[in-house]
Amino acid sequence: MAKLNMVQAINLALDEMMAEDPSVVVLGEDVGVDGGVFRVTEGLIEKYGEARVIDTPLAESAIIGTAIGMALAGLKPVGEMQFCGFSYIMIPQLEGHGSRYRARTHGQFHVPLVMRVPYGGGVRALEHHSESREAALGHLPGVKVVIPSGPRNARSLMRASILDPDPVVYMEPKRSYRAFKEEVPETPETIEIGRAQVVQEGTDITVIAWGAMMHTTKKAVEEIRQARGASIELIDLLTISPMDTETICASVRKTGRLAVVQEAPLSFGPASEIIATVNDHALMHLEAPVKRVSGYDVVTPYFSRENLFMPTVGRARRGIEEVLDF
Amino acid sequence: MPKKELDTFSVSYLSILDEDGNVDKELEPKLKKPELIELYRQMVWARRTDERMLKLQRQGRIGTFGPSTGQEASQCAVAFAMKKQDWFAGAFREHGVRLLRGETLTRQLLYYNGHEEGNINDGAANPRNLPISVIVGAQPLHAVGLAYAMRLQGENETCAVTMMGDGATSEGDFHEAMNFAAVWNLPVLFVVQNNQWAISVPRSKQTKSATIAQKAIAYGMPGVQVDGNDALAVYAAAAEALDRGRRGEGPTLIETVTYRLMMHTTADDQYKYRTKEEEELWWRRDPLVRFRGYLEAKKIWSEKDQEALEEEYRLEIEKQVKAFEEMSGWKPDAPFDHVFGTRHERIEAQRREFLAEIAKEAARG
Amino acid sequence: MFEFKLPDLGEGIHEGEVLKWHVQPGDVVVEDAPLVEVETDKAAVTIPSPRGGKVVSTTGEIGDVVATGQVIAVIDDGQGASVTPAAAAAAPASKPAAAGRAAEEMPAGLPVEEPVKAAPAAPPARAVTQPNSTVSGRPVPAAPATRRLARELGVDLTLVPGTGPGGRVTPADVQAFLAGGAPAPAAAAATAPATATADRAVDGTTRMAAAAAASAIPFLDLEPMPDFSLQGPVEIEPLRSIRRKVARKMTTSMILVPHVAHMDDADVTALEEFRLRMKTQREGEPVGKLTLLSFVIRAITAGLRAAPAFNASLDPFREEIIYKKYYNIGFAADTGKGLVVPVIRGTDVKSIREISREIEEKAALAREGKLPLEDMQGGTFTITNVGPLGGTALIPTINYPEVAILGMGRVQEKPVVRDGQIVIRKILPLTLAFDHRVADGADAARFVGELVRNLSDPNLLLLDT
Repeated sequence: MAKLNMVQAINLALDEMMAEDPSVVVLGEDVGVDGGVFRVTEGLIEKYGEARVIDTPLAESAIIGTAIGMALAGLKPVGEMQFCGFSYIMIPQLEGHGSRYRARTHGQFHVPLVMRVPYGGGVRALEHHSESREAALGHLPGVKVVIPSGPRNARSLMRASILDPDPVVYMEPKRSYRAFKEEVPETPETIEIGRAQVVQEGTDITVIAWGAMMHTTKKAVEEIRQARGASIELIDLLTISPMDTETICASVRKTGRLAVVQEAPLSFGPASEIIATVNDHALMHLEAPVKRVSGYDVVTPYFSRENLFMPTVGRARRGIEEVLDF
Repeated sequence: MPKKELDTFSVSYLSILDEDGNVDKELEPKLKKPELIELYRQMVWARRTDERMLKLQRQGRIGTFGPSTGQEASQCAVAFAMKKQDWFAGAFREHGVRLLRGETLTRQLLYYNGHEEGNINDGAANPRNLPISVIVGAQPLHAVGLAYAMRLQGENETCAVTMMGDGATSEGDFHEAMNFAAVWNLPVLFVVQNNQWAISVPRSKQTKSATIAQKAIAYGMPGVQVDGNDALAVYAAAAEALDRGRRGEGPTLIETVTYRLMMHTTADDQYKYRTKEEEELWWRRDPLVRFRGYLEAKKIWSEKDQEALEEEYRLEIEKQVKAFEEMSGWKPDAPFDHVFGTRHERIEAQRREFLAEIAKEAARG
Repeated sequence: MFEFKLPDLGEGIHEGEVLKWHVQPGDVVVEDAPLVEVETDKAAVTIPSPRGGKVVSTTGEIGDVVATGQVIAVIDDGQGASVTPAAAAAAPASKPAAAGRAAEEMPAGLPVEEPVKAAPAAPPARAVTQPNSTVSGRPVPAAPATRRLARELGVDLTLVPGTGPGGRVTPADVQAFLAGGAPAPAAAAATAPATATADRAVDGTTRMAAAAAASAIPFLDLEPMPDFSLQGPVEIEPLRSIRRKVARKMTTSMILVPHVAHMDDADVTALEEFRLRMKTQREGEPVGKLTLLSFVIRAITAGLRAAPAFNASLDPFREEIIYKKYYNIGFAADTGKGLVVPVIRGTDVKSIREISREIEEKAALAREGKLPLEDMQGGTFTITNVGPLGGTALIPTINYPEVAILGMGRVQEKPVVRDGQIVIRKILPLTLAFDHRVADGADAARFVGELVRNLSDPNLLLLDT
């Protein structure tokens, strides 16, 4: 198949799933005729009709709330929160109900829904459009949170998310939407949710990133490799929650060093959870303190200075080298 | 350009069987004798079990619950109008609906004694009853989604009924649900049990609207206020709304004007904010007394019938309480089974630790 | 059958060198009879047999270092099962069990830390005990991976000199320590197989180079020792026990602490008159002799109360100065086998007579190698008195981690000028060496000045007590 960017790859996954399974529906603001503000759902309404590609009134709580109802009755709704900043409104329904129907009925009901949340900075957008709040969502028991980093895994992760029997928040790194293209195979693939991927093997240090930071981190890793020949093991986290203890700790036990690159604010972020996980299962293999190359605990600034606050290739490189040189 | 009137709206109030036993023969629903008796039996069952639960709570045999006494007509008559395939998305004061739709007292007791198992509606209970929603006003959205799914899946004869209290009408989700249901023209019946109090806040402080029913107008759906202690009026309104839904004519809002005769929950003292005099006024409007009078006037119910019913229920309640209290062998790690439908090592590791810890705690005595 | 494990012979003692066996395999030993003499870093002790019976085996040749918790003798006491008395079952022996239990508690199926490997037990292991990182009161800085390595190799981290940034112990340090005491370069250690062979087997040249590479001090260029035997006959003695301890401590002190020496002369004419008079008057009493050192200790204690900086310690890792509110004055004692510093505790509440008596007792015990360990620990300030041996002045090395040390020269009659006249006075040369990180020259001048004033007039000294 042709090389696709991430927008096209997610669109492809939605298209494939809607074609395969009539219970899959897409709903959200402007997802129908407009094809979504990022064009992720473009062309779906023409193919599947407005009963399955639903332009909703403008109400995020209702988008997820009605999606929960649909899911309870056997549909597989894929809802869209237009931007991360508007997605906090979905949390009461997600935490209050979406994550709980299975537990509160011991499995009689379950909620197989996907909420798509474009997130992250770097696209010169207005306020509330640039946050990285995966940790807040990952903290909710009963909710899975996944983040693709490129076109190929975006497609397979979307497929896995729709097939999953539980609520999945699928966060889309806006900055990576059209940043690069990748060969996407003809045959649909899935990625097991809850599994991280070792994308590059190495022995000197483990570096973990996800989403848009994966791209930044890859560049930093390549720079370090060229500059000093360090052997770096790079892990794409892919699933924020439930986190893949095994892959992370197996790598750290091998390398003895770890750096995590995240766009999210420093405190209580996924990097902190990764460190705690390593503490539980691989502490005695650490040669150096774990480094977090992270966003800061500030209200995300407007785009004129936004890039100063996001981890850059340079910051990622310095952070990784700090651990290597400890 | 003078201002001109675009439209005019009105709100109607429905009452069929009044406080004094007068019946509007024109509006009287055409229910057969056994149906009327069955509706009455269900209302009495709801009342007696509610009373017993209050005693059990006071004895520490169950936890906190919100009594439904006084609202039996609002609850049972709605459920009586529903079909088995209809969905029900309720809050936490629809005891009568739940019992009528097949949930047992035993399950209610389990739920109120802190067991998720009380939410499982299998067996005789209707699997289309969603479990109790404690968060006020959240569940109407689920009903809208359910109705959407039904229509998409071709179940055109199925409606979704959602119930809530007057307090819930101040929540955003209530309005979003009304709006979505109307825009999508879905077969959803919104029933607001206006029992005058949201814990301590009276209806007058909840909304400036003269009625709750009129809120339907803004969303483009029919809304009607009914005498919520009049089982016939509630039944008639609900039946009509459900019929309209089945015909593809969209959602309806029903406001049942009733009264919470007891405390908000067993953790509440209603005399902090209202008087016994006010309660006594409403006791005189007791829906059970009114409906029994109606049946007796029809000569289809007698004191002897009542005595037999009371004895039947006394025994049944004892049986179910006993069954509840004899239940044991709860799986302590069940919550780990139901985090996800898929197994994940991160959850399983915590389960193992949990089991080891509780074993050690038990060994510690 | 009774397995006797080397007990912790003092507060946090982890190993001991076998000096002498009083029994041989096959001998019959009675309970409490001398079994073995072991010298730890701090003292030599005779260990009585905890059981009566026939000695089946002993572990450790003379000169070998055995670890606390290691079985050093097996005695057939007529009991079948091996029994370990509570006292001998020291904490280190129980720690691997605890670690094993923790590992078992980890949920099965999840990757967990491998259980701690059994420490090598066969002699001549250098150190086979569990690390006790709190022996010094502060944790040893080391990465967890280094701790795991040390645990697996049975190396006590508190004994390993750290060459990493901030004194951190690196995996190479652990490997080097195991190989023979000197730090090795990281690259070499990373691939070096774990070994428990004695240090003599290791090539000294390699070790020197390794130390130089690891220490990374500019201009420090440690070259291997030339073969002195080419120049003439030599006798080689391994650096052991007290000698090694002193070497390590003095090196640490000289490299780590910026030393400054402040010198002054005390006119002790009046004090000596007083002392000798008191001594004469008290002759025959059990008080014993009144030494000048006891007066100096008294005067120093008064000085330390006024200048707490000299009774402190500097923690370079936490960047803190710890001021001690207790006064334990150590005095360097020559034992013939090496330097020992007995400590007189609570010198702020003891009389000069008590101090004097303690000095005498402890010096005697030190010379016999029988000074209890606790009497060599906990010092806050040290005095070294070379006066009886001669010498006009000295520059002592601080007894790290203390902050200062006072060196006393020999009291000599010297011509000095008093009120324009040349007079003969008894002069005590004093040198205060102190840690410039904690105190400055002016502080030292005031401190020593006050000391000199106090020593010049016994009345002042008494006033202050």
